[in-house]
Amino acid sequence: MSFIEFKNVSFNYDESEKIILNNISASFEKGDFVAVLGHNGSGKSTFAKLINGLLIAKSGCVTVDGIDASDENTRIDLLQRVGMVFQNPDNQIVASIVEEDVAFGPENLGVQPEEIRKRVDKALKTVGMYEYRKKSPHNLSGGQKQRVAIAGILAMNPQCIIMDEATAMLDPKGREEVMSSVKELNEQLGITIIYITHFMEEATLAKRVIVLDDGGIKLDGTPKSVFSHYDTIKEVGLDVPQPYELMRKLGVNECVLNADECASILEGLIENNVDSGN
Amino acid sequence: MSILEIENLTHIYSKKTPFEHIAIKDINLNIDKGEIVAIIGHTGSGKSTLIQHMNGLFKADRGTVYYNGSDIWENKKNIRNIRFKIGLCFQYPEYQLFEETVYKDIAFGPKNMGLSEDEIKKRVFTAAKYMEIPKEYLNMSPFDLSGGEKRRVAMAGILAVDPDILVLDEPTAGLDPKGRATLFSIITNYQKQTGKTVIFVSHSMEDVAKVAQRVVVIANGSIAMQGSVEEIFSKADELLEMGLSIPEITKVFIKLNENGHNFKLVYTVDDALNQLRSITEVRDNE
Amino acid sequence: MNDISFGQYYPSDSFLHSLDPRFKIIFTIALVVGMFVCNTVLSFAFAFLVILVLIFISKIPLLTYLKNLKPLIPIILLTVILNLIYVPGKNIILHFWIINITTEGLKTAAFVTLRIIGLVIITSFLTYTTTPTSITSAIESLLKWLKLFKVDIHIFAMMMTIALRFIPTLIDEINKIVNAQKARGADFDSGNIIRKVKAMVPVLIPLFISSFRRAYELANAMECRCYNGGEGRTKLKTMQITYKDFISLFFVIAIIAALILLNKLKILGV
Repeated sequence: MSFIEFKNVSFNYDESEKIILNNISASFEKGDFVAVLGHNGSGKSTFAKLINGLLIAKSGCVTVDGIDASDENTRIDLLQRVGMVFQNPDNQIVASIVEEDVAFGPENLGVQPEEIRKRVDKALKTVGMYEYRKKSPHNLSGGQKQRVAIAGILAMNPQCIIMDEATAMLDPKGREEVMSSVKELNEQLGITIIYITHFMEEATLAKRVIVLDDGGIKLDGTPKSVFSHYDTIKEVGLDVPQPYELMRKLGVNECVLNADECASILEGLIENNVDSGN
Repeated sequence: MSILEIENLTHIYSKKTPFEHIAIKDINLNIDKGEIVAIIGHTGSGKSTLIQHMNGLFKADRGTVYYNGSDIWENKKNIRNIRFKIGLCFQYPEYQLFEETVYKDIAFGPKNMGLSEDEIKKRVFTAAKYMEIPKEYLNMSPFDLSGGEKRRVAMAGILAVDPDILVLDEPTAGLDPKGRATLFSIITNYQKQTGKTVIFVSHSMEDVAKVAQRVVVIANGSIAMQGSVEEIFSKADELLEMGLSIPEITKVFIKLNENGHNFKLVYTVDDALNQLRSITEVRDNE
Repeated sequence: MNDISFGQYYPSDSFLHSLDPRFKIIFTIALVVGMFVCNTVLSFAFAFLVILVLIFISKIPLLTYLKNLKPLIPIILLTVILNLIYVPGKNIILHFWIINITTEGLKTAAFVTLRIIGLVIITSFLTYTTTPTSITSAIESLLKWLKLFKVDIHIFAMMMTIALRFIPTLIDEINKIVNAQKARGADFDSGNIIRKVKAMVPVLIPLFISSFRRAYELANAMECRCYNGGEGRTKLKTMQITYKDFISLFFVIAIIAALILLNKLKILGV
């Protein structure tokens, strides 16, 4: 069985209202880094909230590490395994001092004080916020606040972190800080990352991308394979990274997502051109 | 003549306390009538403080803001009228909606101006048209709309006062790619049709490249550079140093130039294509 | 931009800062009572000597304490005047029109003034040397026994913590909404009371809506971090009672005893 499993999951808030997710099945392995894309209102957030049981599927079932997400009795086990970072950095910080906020999760879990101290320090060091541990979160930048929020999740020793549009309200610098922290958690600690975003550049850094549209999974695969469905991507209101756009317009039929790769292909083209010119 | 002129503007927060902090320092800036100007700079660079001086929401510690040649603070009582001339739309403006219907919310500004009912109606309809808000929405509650629609209603509320200068603080923050594109096309259409001056703050250089004619870069409370889009974009390395991000396509050309080529740095796919045209043409000939 | 979330906390590494917040609350209450006990020149002199020593120990500049007195000047002046005028006495030192100023009046006025000043400085010792969060946890711990009466003190403590955390955020938010509505020509300054109240509607509605949204998101975030009430919760910072607290306790008892004794000793009949 996979780490996270969606089996025929459907969701709507109200019987009368429109269906947000319709009969979705998918599975994610431990250590995956999955970017979830989709236009506003495509059900990305709903998808995320089904994983940690903030929302319960109307039909079908979601399991994480074998735990049924809809089971009230195993709620704490599930929440401890799957942490979530939300969009608005201000609305998820509980305490007035950074280290006390990071301690909030382990405190709730009844961890012993000496152990909490160890976890808090380690988590803050991991996200590079240790020097700010005595500061008031109010005075931090958006990117720093989100890193504190990530540390707060890390201190619970999770297996998976869901980023629910956690970079939407940040400036480019803040986005980069958060993205590199998350990548490190995935690569160094093997934490599974579900990364919901509408920034295409961020999605290109994931190992796997899924595109939600109209209540279903429209595309699923590696960033390259997903973005190569150019027309579908545009159809669902998303965009492809600039290098690929350029490649297409130049008539190169290869999905190129990053700048370096694009530059080396262009290099080849230019040389070719010089050769044929001679 | 400049429609808006900012002279030696300095603003200090929490003056004479341990928390004293200089937000902006000796800013000099001229905005011409009918221009589209982009202001870029990362969070905390002072750009939000700067734009709140433009319509007199803040009063500077030093320096003057001139609108059509006269000091906006010349007559304190007149500052409300200045705010109708220089319309400022904050970041996430949808959070300031409060009326029962879309119509009433858009009408809030014109009402404050003391206009007649007929004139208010005309203004609301025109503003709604510019923002591409369907007529049937006008009687709905703004809180029943989607996020992107709410944003457009809130912006219509600013357009309805019919300002000479429209100042937008990160108009596309939090929108998906399609929403961003739609909103920018609305803004450029509005500018083309009315010939008004538009100033907008943005983090996205791609958007700036597509929309703006002139760019002002703010760093540490001062203007680090300003000039035409091309001029600014030729200094991509300096922008990177200031902690600003540059589009992926620009990185491609920086990389090419590092490898000994001599390309102009570009920020949009179309400009890149123009430069590379020669290559493709040869390929087509083959 | 003031950092309200830290209240008046003044960071330092003094002896007072290092005391257990629970003891500090008890000491503060004791010294406040002590201030009310004072009613002779001698006891006041001793009380202020103690205060001066404490100010020195706290490593916080005297001026910072005096700053707290500034808003109280009108109240102090008012009580001084009222006491001067209304306290009856035999020893009239000044007389004009129907007003008699007596030595008794002068004495009461002086004592009341000294008492207010003393109280402000004593409570400042607590707020300057303890973070609001520590004060909250200390109150929670001190009121633990209320559990016997089925009062859930943890909930109150949590509410305090969240309130402290969100006050600066909400102040920023109010400023932003006010400015945004001003940009649409909202007028908050002119007109009569009714107009002014009406002018607040465009601020209050967005503020309520956003506060509800914040509350909802915060509740979600707290749930995601396994918050489940006070049951079985541990704390990062356990309050540690040290020898310092017991030394202080001894001194506080001695100070109160001294004040009571000094009250009995009268010099020069006052």
